[in-house]
Amino acid sequence: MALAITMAVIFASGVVFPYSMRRLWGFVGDRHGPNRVGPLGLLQPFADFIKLVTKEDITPTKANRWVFLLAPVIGFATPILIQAVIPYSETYTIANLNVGLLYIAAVSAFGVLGILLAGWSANNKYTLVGGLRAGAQMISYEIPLLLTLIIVAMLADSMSLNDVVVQQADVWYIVIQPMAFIIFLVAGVAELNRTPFDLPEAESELVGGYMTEYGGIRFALFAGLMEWGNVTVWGLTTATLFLGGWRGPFLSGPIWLLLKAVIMGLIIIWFFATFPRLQVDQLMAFAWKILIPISILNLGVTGLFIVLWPDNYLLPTAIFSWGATLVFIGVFTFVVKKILLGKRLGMHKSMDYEPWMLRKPAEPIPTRRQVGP
Amino acid sequence: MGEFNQLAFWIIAFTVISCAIGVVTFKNLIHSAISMVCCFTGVAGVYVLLRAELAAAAQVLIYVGAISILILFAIMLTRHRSGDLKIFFHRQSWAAIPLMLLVGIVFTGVLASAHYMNSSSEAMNPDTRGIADILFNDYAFPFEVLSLVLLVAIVGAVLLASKEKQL
Repeated sequence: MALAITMAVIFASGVVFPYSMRRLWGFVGDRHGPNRVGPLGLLQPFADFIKLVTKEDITPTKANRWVFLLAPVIGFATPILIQAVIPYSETYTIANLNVGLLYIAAVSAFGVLGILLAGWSANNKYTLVGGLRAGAQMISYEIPLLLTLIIVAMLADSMSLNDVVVQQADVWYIVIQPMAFIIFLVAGVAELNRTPFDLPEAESELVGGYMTEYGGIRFALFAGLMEWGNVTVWGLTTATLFLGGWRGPFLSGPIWLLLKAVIMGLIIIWFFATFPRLQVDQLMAFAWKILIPISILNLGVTGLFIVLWPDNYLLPTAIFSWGATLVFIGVFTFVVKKILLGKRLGMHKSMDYEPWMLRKPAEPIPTRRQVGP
Repeated sequence: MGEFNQLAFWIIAFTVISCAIGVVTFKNLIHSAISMVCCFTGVAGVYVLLRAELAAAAQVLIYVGAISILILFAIMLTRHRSGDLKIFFHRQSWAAIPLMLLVGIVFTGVLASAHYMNSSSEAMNPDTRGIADILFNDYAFPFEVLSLVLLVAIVGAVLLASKEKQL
């Protein structure tokens, strides 16, 4: 029963998200997206699935065969295992652990492991670089993720996800700790290797990243089910931690929970269509120099408030967190605007290079007149 | 439930021991590392059977999530081919035998002299709050000293690595 539910959720995410992603991208890019197979192109994921399943299952000759076959299975364990502690309704949780938050952090390690092994075993430089990038990125962004998990545990006074949802009866934690929610969102997008942090599978430099050598059904397992299953599970976790879990009017608990998870997934797809990709050094600098100090500060202040006012710490925490969020968004927007529009470099004054170049080219761009005799 | 626990324990014990043998006998370093991950996960399974969920989660978080991935990283960054990676420290295997004997004697002594609690007693099923109480109130000083030792080790490792680079 439990296994059937988890598998159904993962397969459904493998069908729902790729379709909605392509439709949304089409909407953002003023294109059509898939609209030929079935009404509104709704049968497109199934057509893709049939195509992938009927393809030949190739293992590269020089690959380390057993590790190559084992890696997708290890990676696939994460989305299945995490669902075990998610409360679907007031009464239904597959396993109500009293260390649920720690369990989530622990189990997500298997995802990193599967990706690293997949990258190494294919004996291909693109997959190796992709796998190592994914590993370094996921380890770095796991730290702010864990620090926000500690904040949730402190607010709920428990590490069980059931208690976390019960504690959100009056007010959701996104209202009390928007800063933690934003850190969780950003670090989660990085954990899932999605744009703007999708360097492990940067197609313009690494072909397909760690999944380059996988084809047919194994590619479907990796790119379709594991990645999108992870997105869904991350959405379920976010909904449980910050958005009140299964709470909501009119509809039943599981429907509310899945609805919130799908909305979080659509936010990720929206990011996908909006942001450009970061560089590796920017990615690491953002994790270690910005995200981790902010999470430690947020954690320390929240802990201080809980010690200072043990009875009513929610209001000061909320005031601090909202202030920090506004400051963070303001500074971040200012800096990004400065970098992108080149105000710091005085780019808006001279027109001898384009705004997207970020840096003045060593030689002036040849105009039409200078080229040729 | 008792019979299921017995069966699960024997399956996990068999897996852990065969994986531990695999760690030292596999010729390929990556295969050894995967075998080690399996071994660590199995030990976490034993903790779950003993109803020590916190220890199990910490075991997976630290040993699978941090240590094994660090080892894999080190192997992949230093020898970036997936061909046959031979274990290179086989010449030291003679030193392992006396060490093994010593460790075996110590462990047997500790296990033989240990005072076993009844599984229904209160102390057998500690919750997270109780462990935190012990860790941060009663044993706060040793805990801090331990973290200081780890910090010293990290700083020393960075120093050693940077010196090697300068030479």
